[in-house]
Amino acid sequence: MRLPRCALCHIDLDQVSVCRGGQLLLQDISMHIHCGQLTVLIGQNGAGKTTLIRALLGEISHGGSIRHVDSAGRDLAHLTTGYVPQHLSFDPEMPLTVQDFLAASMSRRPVWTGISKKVRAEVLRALKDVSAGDLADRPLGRCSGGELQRVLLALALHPAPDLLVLDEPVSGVDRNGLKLFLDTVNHLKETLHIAILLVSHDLRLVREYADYVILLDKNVLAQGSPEEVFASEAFRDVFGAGNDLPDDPLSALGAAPGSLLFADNRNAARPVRKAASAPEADVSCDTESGNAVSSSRFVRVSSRSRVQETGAVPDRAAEKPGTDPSVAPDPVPDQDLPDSRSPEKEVRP
Amino acid sequence: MDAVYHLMDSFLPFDVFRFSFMKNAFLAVLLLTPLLGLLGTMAVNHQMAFFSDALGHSAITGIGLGMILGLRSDLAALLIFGIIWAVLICLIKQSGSASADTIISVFSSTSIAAGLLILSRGGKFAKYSNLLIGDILAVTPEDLLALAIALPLGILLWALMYNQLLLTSVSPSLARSRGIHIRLVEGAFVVLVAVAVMLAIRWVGVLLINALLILPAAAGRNLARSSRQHALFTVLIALFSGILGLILSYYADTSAGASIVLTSAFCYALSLLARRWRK
Repeated sequence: MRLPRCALCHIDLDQVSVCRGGQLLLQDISMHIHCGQLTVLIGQNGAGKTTLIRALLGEISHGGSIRHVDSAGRDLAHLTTGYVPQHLSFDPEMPLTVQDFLAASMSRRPVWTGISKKVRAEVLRALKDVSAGDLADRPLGRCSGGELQRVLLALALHPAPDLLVLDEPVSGVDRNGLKLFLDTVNHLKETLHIAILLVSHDLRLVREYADYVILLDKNVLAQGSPEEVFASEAFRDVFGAGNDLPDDPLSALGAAPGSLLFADNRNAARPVRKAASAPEADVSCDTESGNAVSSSRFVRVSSRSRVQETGAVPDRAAEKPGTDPSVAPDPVPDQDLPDSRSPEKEVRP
Repeated sequence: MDAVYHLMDSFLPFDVFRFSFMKNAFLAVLLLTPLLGLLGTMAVNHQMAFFSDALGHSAITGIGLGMILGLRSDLAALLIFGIIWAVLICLIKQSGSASADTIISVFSSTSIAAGLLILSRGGKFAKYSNLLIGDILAVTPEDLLALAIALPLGILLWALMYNQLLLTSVSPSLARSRGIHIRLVEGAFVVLVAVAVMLAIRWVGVLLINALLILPAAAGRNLARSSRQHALFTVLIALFSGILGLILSYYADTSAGASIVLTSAFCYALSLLARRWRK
């Protein structure tokens, strides 16, 4: 595949392939991730999205080359990568505040001996940059899914990265939290001029936010502007013609959250395509209800039961007790961003 | 040493500390419990309570092997074996072949059986039963000196690795993406725990050593919100139960180790209540 010439610095992947346990997980991936652009990786579960991220992070060995180059193709300094993992696997009861967590990665002084004023100021600034300034003293286990994503984003931005990798930061977060997160990411893109790679399952938001879309299934099936990729035959093959995204916002409310069904069973055996595509019955139910909150609740529930049907582990972030308003007393009164928190609580089944 | 005794006489003019063996035990508690407690905070957060238990059990094998190999010093045998054993468990755990629980359990029972086998040859196990219960009243001034050197060293190492361990326990993949060598950090932690456990085991005993590591940290965790509070509460609870347990054992004429552990268990129960009450 011929790649377009690039005007800016970018991360150049040339024929990257990953082979593990005799299985070819990625084959001949050639793509550019540009700075100042939001590149979104889409594809079904098992398409190799996470594998590609791990190769980018240098966690697994791969064939081909990954280089950080300028517009003329000359090698630039070593690539600094910021990473927002899909979810954290920590014990929510752990006595650890957001501030401890950030300070532990920003300074060498062990956080149990305390945090210096300088580091505290740095942590607060980092949190404010992602509109999470009020979270500093909250225990990490009591942050909602959306709040946790912003904390992780704050961490990923220190030290300032050339490439920001966001691995499915949408799971366990409802649409409003997700939009807020993507708005923040967009703002970062414009102010910091970094390359951003996002793995997303919410096709409607992909269309709205992405500058460049890459459809992956072991190799690159299609890449280009969102319009180009969404109109491609490969896209219809993967996501089904019935899942074509309507422009009408009312019906989009029903159809788009249905795409959450692709979320988070990447560890399970790859489901057959039929099982993963949006169930028509659910979608029509949502459009009939005509209510954004209740429809999104319905879809979340149905997406979870669907995930269980396909034998996958349900999303951990969504299960976390700390995110349940009935269990977690909120230690920071009324300082939350109302538009980010309340809807997240409402969608809990 | 006399100067220290003299100091204690003037500051702690209590009947309990009349005898120098009680003074030694008191000093040993002051030096040991905070280090074990601090290490315990991470063992608790890293879900390694069971691991440290297995490590304690392996001390029997350490002594037994030391005897076979003709090592003159029990402590050397304990340290060498403890470190090798800890690293071995860690490596197997990291290779991810089966669930960690199962692996640790296999190691734990294997080491107990091997130790008992060696030490009970010719029906001489009674000689080593001390190892099971420990005797903190048998601490010598030389032991105290060794502890006084080990404590600051241990805390220094602990301080160096803490932040990295913390990130690893929150998310290994995140830690890896930030350039933390997870295996190295975990290995260093495991070795540090092994050394601390082996230093303490002769006085606390195989059966109870894990309680000193886990109980104060578990109680502190119920009260704390932040890392700093966790460390602070844990050290305070460890010192409190260590000293109170020692004094109680003197008056009640009971095993010092058991009294200390029961006092920490009591603290743990209180911390649970406090947590309920706060919620």
